[in-house]
Amino acid sequence: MTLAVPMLLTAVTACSGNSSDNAGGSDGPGASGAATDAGKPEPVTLSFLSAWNGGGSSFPQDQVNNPVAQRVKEVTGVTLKMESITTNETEKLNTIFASGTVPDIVNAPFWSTTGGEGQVIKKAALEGQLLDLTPYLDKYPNVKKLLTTGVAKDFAEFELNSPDFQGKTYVIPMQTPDGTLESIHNWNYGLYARGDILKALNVNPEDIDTEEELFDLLVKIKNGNFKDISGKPVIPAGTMHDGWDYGQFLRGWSDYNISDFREENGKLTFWMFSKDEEEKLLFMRKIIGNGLFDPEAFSNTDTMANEKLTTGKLAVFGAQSMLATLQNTLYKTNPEMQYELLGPMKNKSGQIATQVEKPGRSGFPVIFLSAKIKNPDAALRFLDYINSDEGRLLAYWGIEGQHYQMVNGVPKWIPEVKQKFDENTDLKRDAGLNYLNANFIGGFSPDVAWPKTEDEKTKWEKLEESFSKKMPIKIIDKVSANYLEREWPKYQQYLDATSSLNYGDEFEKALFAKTDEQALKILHDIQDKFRAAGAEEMTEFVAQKAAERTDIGF
Amino acid sequence: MEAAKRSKTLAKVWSFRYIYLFLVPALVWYLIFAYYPMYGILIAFKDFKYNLGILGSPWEGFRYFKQFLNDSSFYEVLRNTLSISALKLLFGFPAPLILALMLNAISNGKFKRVFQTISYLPHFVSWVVVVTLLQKILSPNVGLINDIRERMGLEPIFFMGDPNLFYPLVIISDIWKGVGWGAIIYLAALTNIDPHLYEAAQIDGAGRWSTLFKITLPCLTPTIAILLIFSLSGILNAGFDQVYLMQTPATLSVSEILDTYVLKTGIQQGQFAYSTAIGLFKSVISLLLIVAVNNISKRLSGTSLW
Amino acid sequence: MGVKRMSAADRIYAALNYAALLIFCATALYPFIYFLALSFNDGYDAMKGGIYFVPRVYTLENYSKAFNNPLILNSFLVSVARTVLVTVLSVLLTAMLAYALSRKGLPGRKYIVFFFFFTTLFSGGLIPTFILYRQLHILDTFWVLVLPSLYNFFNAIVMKTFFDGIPGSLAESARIDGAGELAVFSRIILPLSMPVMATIALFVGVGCWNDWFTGQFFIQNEKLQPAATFLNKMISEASFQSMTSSNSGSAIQNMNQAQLELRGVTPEALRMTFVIIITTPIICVYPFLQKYFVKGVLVGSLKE
Repeated sequence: MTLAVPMLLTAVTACSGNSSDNAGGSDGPGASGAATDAGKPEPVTLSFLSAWNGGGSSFPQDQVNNPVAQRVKEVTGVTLKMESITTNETEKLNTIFASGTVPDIVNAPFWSTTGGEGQVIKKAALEGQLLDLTPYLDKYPNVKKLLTTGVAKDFAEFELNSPDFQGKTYVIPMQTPDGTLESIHNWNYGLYARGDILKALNVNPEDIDTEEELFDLLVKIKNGNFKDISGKPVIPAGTMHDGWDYGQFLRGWSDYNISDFREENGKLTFWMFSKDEEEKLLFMRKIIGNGLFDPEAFSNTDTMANEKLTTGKLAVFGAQSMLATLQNTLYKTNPEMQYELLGPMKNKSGQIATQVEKPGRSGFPVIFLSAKIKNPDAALRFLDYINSDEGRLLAYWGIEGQHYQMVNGVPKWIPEVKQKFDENTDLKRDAGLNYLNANFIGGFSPDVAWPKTEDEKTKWEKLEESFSKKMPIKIIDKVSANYLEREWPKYQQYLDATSSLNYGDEFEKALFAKTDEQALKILHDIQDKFRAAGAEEMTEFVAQKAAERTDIGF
Repeated sequence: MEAAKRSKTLAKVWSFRYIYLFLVPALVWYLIFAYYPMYGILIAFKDFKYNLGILGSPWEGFRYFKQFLNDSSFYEVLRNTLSISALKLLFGFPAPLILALMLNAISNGKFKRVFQTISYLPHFVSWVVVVTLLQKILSPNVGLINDIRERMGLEPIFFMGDPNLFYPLVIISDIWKGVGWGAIIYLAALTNIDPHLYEAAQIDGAGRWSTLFKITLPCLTPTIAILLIFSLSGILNAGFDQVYLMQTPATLSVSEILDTYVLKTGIQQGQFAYSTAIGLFKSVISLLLIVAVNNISKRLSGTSLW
Repeated sequence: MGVKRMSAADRIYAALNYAALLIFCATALYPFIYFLALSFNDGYDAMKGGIYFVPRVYTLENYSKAFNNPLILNSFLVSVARTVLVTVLSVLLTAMLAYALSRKGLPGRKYIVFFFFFTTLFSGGLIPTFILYRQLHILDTFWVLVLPSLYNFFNAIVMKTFFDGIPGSLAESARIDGAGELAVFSRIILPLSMPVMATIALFVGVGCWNDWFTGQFFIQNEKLQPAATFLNKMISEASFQSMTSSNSGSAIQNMNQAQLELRGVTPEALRMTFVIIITTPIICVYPFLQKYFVKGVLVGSLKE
């Protein structure tokens, strides 16, 4: 996929090294980027780090001479020198900030500012390692749009624009949806049961929607002597790796919540202290104790989980639909075992338990620039271009006429090209068709912008859609009460005291206690520890603060 | 008097001057690569700020140390760590020696080489793979052992979920993985023993056991002592990769060790400073232990590090 | 060598010895048979488990994925260059250090040994090390693979212990004959220490060969990364799912799933392939070192 040699001549000026290259460009927010010049923008090489473990998987083998990179250079003058990591993200971020070797552009995880990478990034911003983007935003409207499109309002208010930042902008959200409701991805979490087993038991999957009915079904399965593809007995219920997601078996005690607080009997309580936790514990113990649930589920490695999944060993599993794995393995050899969605399960209020989302993402990859970058305009005009309509077409589809054609205003793959890519996905990657959309695009949903026609959808995509139709996402357009915690004066103390407490681990420990009394004791112990740290006080505070606003949701 | 002593020392130093020359490259290397970066330990005492660097950041004192020492789980975690380390020393330390002696007893050179090469293969297998294999064998669902049990009409057991079995499994898998590689040093040491000694013993009619205890082991004592001292430097490590992979919720009360605990809890307080503090704590304990054992070894066997 | 009379007890012991070793070696060998089987098996089929000795759905895809990348040959060259250079230098330098430390009567020996030993317990950590390499300008160069690996005090102590075991009379008589330290070192000590030199060479060599972290963390230039780093990167990238979370853009999810779906090369089979590729050279080289573990090097050297 190499292009004409003349393009290479301009690449000669791009040498190795980090942000040091600046072939005549100017710094400072006032300087006009070369985009306004009628001629070619001056060539600049920028260093880029994808601070994700394995993030280099989207990079083309030849970063400079693939068609997409060439076009990027033509339009923006920018050549990227890209690197990634295969170790811990937080470790890498800490190292670059502490040693002052931040690459020009970095894409890193930003889930929250109170822990993990987000905390490190926030600290770096406050300690002068990141470039303050505020003065540049008006010049680059596409970048400015990214700051709000598809971003949950509360996340924006409390994390992205945390008061600590004093109104400055340091990070640009990436991989956010386009803000429309249809763009929110339905992950189809639920309980999935083997179709042939349901048929043999004469059970209609939609009839199972409470935990009692689920229990009865599992008992029937255990007594039904069903087998996996190698003729070994099935496990009635299980999960994927590390117990993900056993919560699907407990949806009857969930509700539509977007925070850690529950309104019970007119009072606000902390989720952990709800009676529901005891009931959940006892139910899980019941199914584990009766041999209905895989005791190994919590220590499943990916390999073991895959093995159980692809051999049809789990009669019922709680997770996503896992079609990507199943369609290439079990469904090919044993199509009758196709898993059906149970329920959907009813939640506490009698409504269908489904994904609860705010109209926007809370936590996503972000891009930030090094405070020492020599040519911030080059970086920003690059980002501005990629997030324009033209740039997106380039990022997802490549070069018109070479990779795709416009058909009724919608891009479609040129058939020979699609076939080649299907046979060998590395070709698509090496043409440069993965790295831009993986790292530099935000506020956009390709499925919404370029919808597939019915006949373009594969059988499996349609199946996924059918699941989604049964479990439409519940959108709650409110601010999560969780954020109000930060205004509590004793919040840092609370965090310090609870940082070594792990409720999830204790809960799982309790599942395997010898008796119910012992299990409940473990549960009560951990609850008491959180109480001692001040969880109830915090809840009171949050209740108070929530009353002062009208947009708080629990 | 003093002057005479001093000039005697100086004369001695001068006579050893070439030896000091031998030491120079090592001294330089260690100063640059080992001592210079050591200021990083200070991060355990500081409120580290990126723009101020480790040396310039404000002093926090023992905050992180106090934090984990006050942690309610600390003593349980420490107990688990020490238990595993002690067991590994007790059973795991002699294992490579025993293997080396067994290999040495094979007279056929070809078999000996083949066995030796195979014995250290597990060293190259990462813990991720070893634990996966272990889980496969012991799985209550698809595992080999439970398969056999079921055929005999027995109920399957979830081995890895049994807190009583955790330590044995950890020790056995650790021995399996490391014994072959560990035996290499002993094998090399065994070749150093003067065969004349064995001949003399044979002529004197010594049996295999007295040869072992009166000749072989005494000759190996310096090696054993040194290796023992080095093992102690890892006393609070207990094998993070292995234990982390083998933990299950049911065994956490015995399987949570210092390093796995720090991983799960250090997130809030700038994990960096916190884990450095734990690392420092471990190092200090190891140092004290080693100084003690070194002195004991000096008295008992004449060998010691310093 | 004297007459060897095998008594009944001798035979039993020998048989037991063989049996125990046989059982142990079978368990030690089996994983590699398993890896070989998996590495030649189709990735998706491998997911189903149940493969124990031979591949069920034979394919060369895992290996071709590894070897089709033009950088792989390069990475092996880097690894070989690094391993050879470091092994030779390190063994020599360590031997010098060990020899110096083994010289009885060296003034200040206790303190010198402690000076070195202290560094095995206390270390500054990743960040100061990174800063140091940057200041030395060895980041992103071949030398960061070499210089920091030159010394390991454990190896020095092992060597010193061996040197201590060499009868002092040999060196003494050489010195009386007027040999300097260098001559004693190179002509007497070294030749008599082949077993320990071979041992340390093995440790250093294997450590270098298997180290994937240094190349990953301190080198960006893909052409300078050793084989272990390269293969490890392939595995991480093949299993990259991190960007996906409970509410992420479908682009990433689809992109990686598509990659996995259509290629049939999944991380587990790939990981096994990696182990095979990385370990095979070591197994091939070791037999050459074994000849140095020869018994009786001291025979004939002492005339007492």
